[in-house]
Amino acid sequence: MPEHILDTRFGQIRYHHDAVLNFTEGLYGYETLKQFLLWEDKAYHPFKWLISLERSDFMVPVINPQLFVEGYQPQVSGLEKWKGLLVVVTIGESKQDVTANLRAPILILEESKLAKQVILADVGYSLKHPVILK
Amino acid sequence: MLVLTRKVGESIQIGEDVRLTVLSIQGKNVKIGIQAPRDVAVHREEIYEKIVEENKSASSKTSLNDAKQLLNFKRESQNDESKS
Repeated sequence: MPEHILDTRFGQIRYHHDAVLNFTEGLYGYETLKQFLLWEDKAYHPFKWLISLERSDFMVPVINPQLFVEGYQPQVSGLEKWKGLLVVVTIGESKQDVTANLRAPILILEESKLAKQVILADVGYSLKHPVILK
Repeated sequence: MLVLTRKVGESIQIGEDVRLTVLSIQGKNVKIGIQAPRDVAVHREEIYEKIVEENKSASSKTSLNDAKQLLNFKRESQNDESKS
């Protein structure tokens, strides 16, 4: 299967088409960016990178929130079939400053690689939840 | 911006699929009912703006130096474990 190559600030990344997520509505604030590579580099594990295929300088770190938030099972009506879950991570100045946006997770429909960022109605979920990994 | 004045019980139709209805008014608060298909996101404007801001912060803090923070982040966690 042909591999693709992407130039990023991490250098050249080879990736397979299967690693590309299709955000039909983009991300909030970036609604025109629809195609993202979900890049996993062992060095950053368990963090991954969502890298825009359309804007080479746009990327965000992401992580599976279930790794550090117990009982995080967002219910979004109409999107019950969605399986994969990621949250956007914001890097701060220090370890204490790495936070995840639990209020607006990204849901992924594994088979078709469709992805969507949603805003949860539950005000209890923080936009800046500290990431603490055991 | 299109400006329309409605009374309680009256509605505004947006496109084919979205309807807003003024349900009640109490003092300064207007209760608005929204009928829209499931795939149309409906949110209070302030939360939408906050999410946009957070996406912007997340994407602006991704220089190689920032990314190193995640590598260091992991190692510090491991160091903490080895100390305890």
